[in-house]
Amino acid sequence: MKPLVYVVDNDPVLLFLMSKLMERTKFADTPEFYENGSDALLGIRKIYNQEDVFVIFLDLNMPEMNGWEFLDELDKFTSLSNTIVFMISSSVDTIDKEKANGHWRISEFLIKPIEESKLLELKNEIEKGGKFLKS
Amino acid sequence: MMSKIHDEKRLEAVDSYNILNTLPEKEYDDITRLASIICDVPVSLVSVISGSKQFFKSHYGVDISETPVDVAFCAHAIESTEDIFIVEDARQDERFSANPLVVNDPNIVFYAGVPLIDEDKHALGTLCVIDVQPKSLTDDQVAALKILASQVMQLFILRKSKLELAVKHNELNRKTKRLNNIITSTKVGTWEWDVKQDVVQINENWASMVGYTVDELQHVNLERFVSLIHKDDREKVQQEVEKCFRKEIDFYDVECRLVHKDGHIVWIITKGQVMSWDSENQPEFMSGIHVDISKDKILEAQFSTITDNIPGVVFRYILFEDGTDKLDLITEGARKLWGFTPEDVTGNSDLLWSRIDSEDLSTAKASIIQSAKEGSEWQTEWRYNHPDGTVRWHKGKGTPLDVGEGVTIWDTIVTDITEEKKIQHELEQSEKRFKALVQEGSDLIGILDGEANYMYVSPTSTQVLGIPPEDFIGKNAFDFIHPDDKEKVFAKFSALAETKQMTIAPFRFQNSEGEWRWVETAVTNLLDDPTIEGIVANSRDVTERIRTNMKLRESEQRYADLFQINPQPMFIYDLESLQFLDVNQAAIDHYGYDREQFLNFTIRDIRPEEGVEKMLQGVDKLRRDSSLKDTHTTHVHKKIDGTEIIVEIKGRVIDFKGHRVELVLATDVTKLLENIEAIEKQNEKLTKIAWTQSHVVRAPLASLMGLVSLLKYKKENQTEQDKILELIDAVAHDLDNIISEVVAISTE
Repeated sequence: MKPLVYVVDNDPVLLFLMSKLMERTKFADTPEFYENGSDALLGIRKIYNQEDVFVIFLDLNMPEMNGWEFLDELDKFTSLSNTIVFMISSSVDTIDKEKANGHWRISEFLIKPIEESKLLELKNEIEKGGKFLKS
Repeated sequence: MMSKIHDEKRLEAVDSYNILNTLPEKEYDDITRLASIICDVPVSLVSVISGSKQFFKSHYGVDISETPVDVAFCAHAIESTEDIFIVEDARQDERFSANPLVVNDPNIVFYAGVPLIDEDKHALGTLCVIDVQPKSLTDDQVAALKILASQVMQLFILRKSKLELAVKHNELNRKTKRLNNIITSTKVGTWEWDVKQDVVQINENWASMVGYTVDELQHVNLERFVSLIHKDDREKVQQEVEKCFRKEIDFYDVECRLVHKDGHIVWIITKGQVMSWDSENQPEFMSGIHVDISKDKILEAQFSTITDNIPGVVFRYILFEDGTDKLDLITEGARKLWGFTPEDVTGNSDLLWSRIDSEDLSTAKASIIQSAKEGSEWQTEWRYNHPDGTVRWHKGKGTPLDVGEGVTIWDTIVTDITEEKKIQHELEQSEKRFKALVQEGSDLIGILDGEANYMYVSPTSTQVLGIPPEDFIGKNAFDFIHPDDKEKVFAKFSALAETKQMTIAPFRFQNSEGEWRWVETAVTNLLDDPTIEGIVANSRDVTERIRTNMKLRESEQRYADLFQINPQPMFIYDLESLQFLDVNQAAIDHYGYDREQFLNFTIRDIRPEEGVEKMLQGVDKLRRDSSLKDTHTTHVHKKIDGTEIIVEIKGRVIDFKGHRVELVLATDVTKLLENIEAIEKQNEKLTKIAWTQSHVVRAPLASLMGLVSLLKYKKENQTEQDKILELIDAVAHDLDNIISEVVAISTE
């Protein structure tokens, strides 16, 4: 069973790249792309359920609602058991990375550009029903 | 028995009449004779009984004048309480039968005696009648005998009164005589004034005092009396007399002047008293005396003329047993010598004691006590702090007189010997100087001729310069002088032609070892003095002093240079007053205050108000802990234009011309701190750039990398490829823009 994937980033180039990679890796059948957090939250909330697995690629730096604020809202209606959040950032700043790794809601911190091989690796893990899902 | 006879009071009474053993008197004999006729008896007696015998003041019919008392019939009459004692026949009476006067001659048989009783009831004796045959008296005879006895008693009383009067009269005569003697010999004038009659009586002395005889002034009235008084004293005397009249005083006592007959003044003391008052309390009689005190007055005037002109003060010093003292009879010289009036000092000796120099005080006091103890002449010297501010030497002299009860008086003279002392001191000093010069002199004395050739050199030359005196003789003084100093010394030496004496400032003079010694020389031109005929040069080796001074100057100079040329502001301030004592040029340049301003400032004045507290705390620490020498702090100072600067202070506490001061090096670190601030700002900027690079710059870069990796897949169709290339171009432009922004930030 394929997860439901959401990509949230204000950069359209990133969204374009992610759509290409999703096609190539067959990560998800119908990944959804949002340019801002609040729209993404609305989209997720609309179809959120306990049975499916939700995978969210979240950009850290966004105008209006940034990645941290998005997580606070997300936490209000999703469960850890079927919601996986990957933080993506163009920053190589170690402070950002440490902060993300320490956040209980974030499964992994990914640095742009995201490579195809990395996505495949994540896909396999998720399909194994493995380590990203927290009980 | 016989108790009345021996009664002492009775015996005293008998004595008081003074009748025992006196000669017969006609009055008494008349009475005894009359008694014998009346009573018709052969014998009649007036007896007076003493303690041991009976004495017959009158004895009619017998020739005895006394008998022992134990056989006396009269004794019985006295003992009896009857007013008449009668024995009709003694032979038959057991009291008398064995009495020798009965048994033998005169063979008394009949006796009748009437006691003679005085006013105090004492029986003095009897009037008695005696017969040699028994007899009895008729009542008339008894009555007559009693009357006669009382007549005898009257005679006794009369006699006694006469005697007493005579004694009093004698006494009075004696006293009067004595008084007159005194009055005459002491030349006291006496006067009596009958106030009502206005008559004045005077004695010879009174009159002669003013050159008159008693007769000339006898019976004068008050007006004449007053006219003799000097007109300036009349009122004074009259006031005193009136006080007596009003009973305000008992007697008056004033000094006044009388005018002598020949016109000169006579000084007298007049004393007077009202002797009797009339029934209306008005004075009746007044009397008094005059004493001529002209002599005293003249002496007094002479004395004060003398003492007031003595350069000093004469007074009486009185020392009491308890150690207290008093000055009295102080002359006018006190004003000048002590700076106090005689009245100030009288009775307040502490005024003087407190001004005697403390070093001399105990000696002065001891000398007085010693003089009192030994009765020796007192003489001592002391320093006196005169109220005019000067210190004077005083010398006191006096002879003690022990007046008893532990009191000693000195009539004393104190003079100012300051000038003598000064001269004496100067003399001593000059002697001392002379001795020092001759005996201990390290001075070198030379006598030179007009060309500065040595004629004589004192033996001290060996000691001072290592050159014996004879080696100088004939040589020129300038040969020994340092070439650099020659010109200067020569100029001075030449000037001696006009100046008699001068001192030549230190110059260098060569000693035996070729070493240059600094000498200071005083020269006196005595070429015209026949005993010298030369120039006397008195030289002293002052090398040590000069070298020390030079070192000192060098060190001072070094210090001053260090201070003055230091490129950092430096200043010195007094730790007590906080006053600037010195500042260097850098401080003046940096702060903008000129030197004068600085020296009028305290270190308070070069800092903002809020910095004062911190400064005071620092200074206080230095003041309290003298072991603290170095300070290292930061303060805010204020320049003349009001800008505040941060200075790093390095200070050192030193002694500077007797003050504890801090020498301060102030480094302005304001710029430094500004730089640090700038660097911090720069850092902030750099952080921002780094962040920008990490986030903003890397975003398009990541996009580029992603896009490029897509191009690697050849499977993409042309449209896709074009889109990717388009995106790459856009992202590259973004990146270019971002880099431009970063550059802009970094050059802000």
